[in-house]
Amino acid sequence: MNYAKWAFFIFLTFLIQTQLSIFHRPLNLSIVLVYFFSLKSLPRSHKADVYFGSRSEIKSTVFGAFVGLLEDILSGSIIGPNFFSKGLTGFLTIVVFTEVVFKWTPLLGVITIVVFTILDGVIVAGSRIIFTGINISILDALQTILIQTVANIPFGIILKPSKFRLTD
Amino acid sequence: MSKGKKRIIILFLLSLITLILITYHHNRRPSALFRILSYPYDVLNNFTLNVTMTFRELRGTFEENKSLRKELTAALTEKQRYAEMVQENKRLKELLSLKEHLPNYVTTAKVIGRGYDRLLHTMILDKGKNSGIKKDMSVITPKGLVGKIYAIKDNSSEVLLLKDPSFSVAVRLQNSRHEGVISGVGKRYCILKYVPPEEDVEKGEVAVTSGLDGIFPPGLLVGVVSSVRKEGIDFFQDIKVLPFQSDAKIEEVVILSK
Repeated sequence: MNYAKWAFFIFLTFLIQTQLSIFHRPLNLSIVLVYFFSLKSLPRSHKADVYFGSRSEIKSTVFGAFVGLLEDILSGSIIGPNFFSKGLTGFLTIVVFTEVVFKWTPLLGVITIVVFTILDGVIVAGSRIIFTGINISILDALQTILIQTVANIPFGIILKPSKFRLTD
Repeated sequence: MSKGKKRIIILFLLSLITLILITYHHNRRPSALFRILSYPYDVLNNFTLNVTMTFRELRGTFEENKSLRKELTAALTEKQRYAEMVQENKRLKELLSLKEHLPNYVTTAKVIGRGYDRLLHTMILDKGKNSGIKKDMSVITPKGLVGKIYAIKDNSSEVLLLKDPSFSVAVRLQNSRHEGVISGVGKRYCILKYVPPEEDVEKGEVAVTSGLDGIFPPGLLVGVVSSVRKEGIDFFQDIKVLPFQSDAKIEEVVILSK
């Protein structure tokens, strides 16, 4: 695993995420990064009747948690929401592409990224509301999540897993 | 261990660590480790922000430049307009002083165009019969004689200019008091006729209307003698007179009655 390459990707993602916005709403590119890493971490070979996903699951979860942790630190808010959300995304990506999706298609890629983006937005907003008691406008939060989801749709089409199939 | 149990353990650990982090860092300052982790990003972010701000300011400068150019153009146009108004004001003041000093003042009119007749040198005024203008009335400016009313309609009239060959006016030279008739020749200058060779006419003498033709009131400035020739003439001197008022620069005129 090329640590320098991923470290660069992480910083680049946060830089772009903070500099760009759509209709004055921030982007959520960190979820795309975690998703991308998890797709790259999918195992390339399989053996019949042997579960081999654990290593990928752990790797993706740790990566996602680390990215989430960084995001929490940089946001200045409580540490934990993004840590949990991105870690969960990393974990679920592996689960989805080993248990649910047997053959990747662009539509499935889009659906996956959309679900993860919405899930991430809801977990982070919900955690902040519960643990910090801040008053967030639900409508405003939903608009932000919607815009982030729409912005991430192209990545669902572009990013696809390495050649892997659970079944031939 | 089955894959289901492994997954549960992973999720449990993730949730536990999250709760620990939230509980520990709730309302506390982030630890030194976190500050170290965020330091490279902060440096890079500040640099990016500075670059972005520079580009934004540059864009703002371009927009401001464009807007200022527009304002400058508008200001210059306005200034031009005011300069024009000042000139018009000056002309109108001169016309007003004429009005106050001339007993046979009728009206003031604006030149709205050149005449349509190709054979005559005329110009069109924006007033006519309805303003009291009649045929053969004198048309002047503060500088001098322009011509006479040639044709009239209700709200416009045509002026036969001094330079037209069919125009003539009885004049007197101010210094020598010689009398003659000035006629146009279709050019910038006019000819002073009927001055015998024995009379001394000097270049620079001013010609004014004599009033002897019964059309133009006496004393109106007409022009200045620009050249005098006595050699090779038949009966009268060849005297050229340059009108004071050029017909190319007329904008407003005063009309006088006979």
